[in-house]
Amino acid sequence: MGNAKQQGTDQIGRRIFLRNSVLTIGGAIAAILGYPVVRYFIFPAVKGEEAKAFTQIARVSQLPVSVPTFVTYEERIKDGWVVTTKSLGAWVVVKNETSVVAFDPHCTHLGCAYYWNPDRNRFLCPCHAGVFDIDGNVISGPPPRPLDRLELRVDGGNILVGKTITSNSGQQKNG
Amino acid sequence: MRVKKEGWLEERVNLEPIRASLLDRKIPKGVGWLQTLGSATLITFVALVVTGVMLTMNYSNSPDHAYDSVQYIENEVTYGWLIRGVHHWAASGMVVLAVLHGLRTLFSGAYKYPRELTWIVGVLLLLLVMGAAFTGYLLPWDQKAYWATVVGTNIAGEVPVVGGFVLKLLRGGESIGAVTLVRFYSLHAAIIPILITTLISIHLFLVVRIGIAAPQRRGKTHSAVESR
Repeated sequence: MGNAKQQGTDQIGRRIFLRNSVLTIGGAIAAILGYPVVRYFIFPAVKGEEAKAFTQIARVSQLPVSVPTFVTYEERIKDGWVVTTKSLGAWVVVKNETSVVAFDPHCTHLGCAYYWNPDRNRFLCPCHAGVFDIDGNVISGPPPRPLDRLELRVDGGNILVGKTITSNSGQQKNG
Repeated sequence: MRVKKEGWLEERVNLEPIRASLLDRKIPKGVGWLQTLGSATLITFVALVVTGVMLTMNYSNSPDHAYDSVQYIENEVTYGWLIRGVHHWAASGMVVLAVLHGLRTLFSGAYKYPRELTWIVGVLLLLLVMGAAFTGYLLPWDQKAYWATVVGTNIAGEVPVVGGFVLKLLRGGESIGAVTLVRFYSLHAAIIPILITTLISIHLFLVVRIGIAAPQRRGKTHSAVESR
């Protein structure tokens, strides 16, 4: 820079100043535009799980007490901009007006549909002879955990269910 | 001249002559803001490509889903409203800037020898920009989009002799529907952008190669190749 100082410091100073200005302003514009673009791109991976809406499936008064009943219902599934309805079912056990339990209708072993056998007072899975009691606890057979329950709310005599809660390895409290 | 230590890339690829020929060009006296309209048009195009590519990620080009997917972009995707907003306004901006750029070239006589080819490519570019604006207008698939396309394609249909052919070509049939939407999407997001990119490359090559026209000054003879 020694020589440059003698002839035309001014010119080189301006050149570098302009170059840096263009890079800075250009970089700022690119960053301001780039940030929303990146956020837009990664949106599906970072959005939180949407709270699942509760669906009304039956009225408490319609169901027998202490006898599991298979209830079918339709649920609205939102996939981006496409909304579809899916037919679902649940085994619902009414103990009394406020104590209601809904079981996911799939065996916790390999997902077969099980059924209620009133003679033996047990849920039986036909695939591999899994047996559960009326509270969903495993009595015998290969199932690794009690029956999965659905999030459930009783509101003014209406039974509403939400998402399935997998009961992991921990034993559930008896309802 | 100061001997500059070469960097890793420079030592191998020797990009300096390319940089110099692109950026260290002699610019004629009197050139000012009016000569930046072309660059401004280019920047809007870059913005349109970036935001447009992002929009394709969440847009569905089917009559059943087009409108809902646009609402999804607007209301649910992070910054979707901004991406679509930039695309919307940059589209209008590019049409305006391209026209102003053309008018400046016309009124300053910059289209004359030796830049006739640059001018012709520029006119084709303007037509393509109009085409992109027209086809993009249908994609939101709302009432305004639908009826604007009904009217727009009807205008094309009024052309003597070939009108009926052009009408069916644009609509993909007799009436506007699913096929029209997909055709317009293909034109808007694939065919026209590729053509515009190609022609911009030629346009820019010619600008760099020939140089910028010197503005005419009162009482002086125009020197077209002054800058070379």
